[in-house]
Amino acid sequence: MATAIPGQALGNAADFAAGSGTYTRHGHVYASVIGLPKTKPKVEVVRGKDATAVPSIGAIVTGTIVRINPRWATLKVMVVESVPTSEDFQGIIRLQDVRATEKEKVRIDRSFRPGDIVRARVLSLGDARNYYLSTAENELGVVFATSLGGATMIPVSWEQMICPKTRVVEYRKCAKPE
Amino acid sequence: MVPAANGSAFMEAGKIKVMAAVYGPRQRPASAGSTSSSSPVLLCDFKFAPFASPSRRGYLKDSSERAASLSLLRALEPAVRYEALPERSAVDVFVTVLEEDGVQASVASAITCASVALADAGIELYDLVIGCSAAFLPSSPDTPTNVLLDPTVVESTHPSCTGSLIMAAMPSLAEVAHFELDGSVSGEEVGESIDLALDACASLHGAVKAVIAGSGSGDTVS
Repeated sequence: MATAIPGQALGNAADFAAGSGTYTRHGHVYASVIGLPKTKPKVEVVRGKDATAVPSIGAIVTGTIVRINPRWATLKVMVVESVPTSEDFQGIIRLQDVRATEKEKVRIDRSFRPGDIVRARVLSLGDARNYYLSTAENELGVVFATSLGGATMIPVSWEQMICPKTRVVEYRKCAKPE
Repeated sequence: MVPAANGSAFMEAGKIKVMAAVYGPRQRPASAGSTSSSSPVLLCDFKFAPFASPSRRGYLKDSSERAASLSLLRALEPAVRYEALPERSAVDVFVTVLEEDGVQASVASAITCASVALADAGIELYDLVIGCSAAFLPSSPDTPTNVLLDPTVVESTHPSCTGSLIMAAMPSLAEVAHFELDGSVSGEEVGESIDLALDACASLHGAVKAVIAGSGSGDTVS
């Protein structure tokens, strides 16, 4: 079949189940995106271009820390699951969401530093400006960080990283390597 | 057309040249919509390029451009499938008129162009929205019809012009998305103009579909 265009009737709703890229109205299935229509197992319209990634609740996101303050760290989300976003989304990791245990002892400055690459899970859509993110899982936290000396640090425990050049230990909420 | 945008389109209609760029769905700016609701929003921005008219226009939006932005929003909103957009996201539509030929006809072209750009960006739509404009001129014995479709600037600003309309239709669904009528016009004239404008939208829809189908799926439409 040729390219379908939004609003194009694809078939009778009684004969086909409406899949992605389609909608049902007045007993007919119509295309809602530009793309090639498929009829099995459902009527779908497949787009040529990839859709842009948008963080959803529960998704694992990756980004850089841009700012920290005593109550939260601000993350610039650049990857959702494994799809890069076309534009950056802003999220915050609040003090209570940094780790799962001993939450009262968490200090943001001993967990993240601006420039760190962090993997986090989306908790909620948050307030008007920010997604709320969490690193309270073993696999979540800092995956890449550079030391004050400028070298890439190596995690030595779940809360410490060491600089291979200066041997200085810095504190981070490290992600467990997979 | 616009490599940085998620979708874009360019359209020429007579002298009119319009360019539309669609960004998103992206994070909803804090200024848009109420903070409590998480529903997605469509943001429309209509601008004449400073060099679009014979007399130079400013860089800031004037009142006619703000009104046209609102017309554009009203025309596109009925076609957007909001339920398919992520929560608390925004879709930005930027339309720039590079060369104008009457405000109403420019807005009508902007509506058509923006809906193609939305489709190109992969925003789920119920239908393409096709815009059409008309000017009303007093009838005389030698001019049987007094409705001019997509008038030029000379026609729409003619001293004898009694009114104008902007119509946005969704031809596949046979629905009208937006309708704006200006001036003092009789009921018969309005009825006649609606029929003419709907016919024009339907034939323009055919042309737009052919361009989209010919450009390959999901590629930039121009």
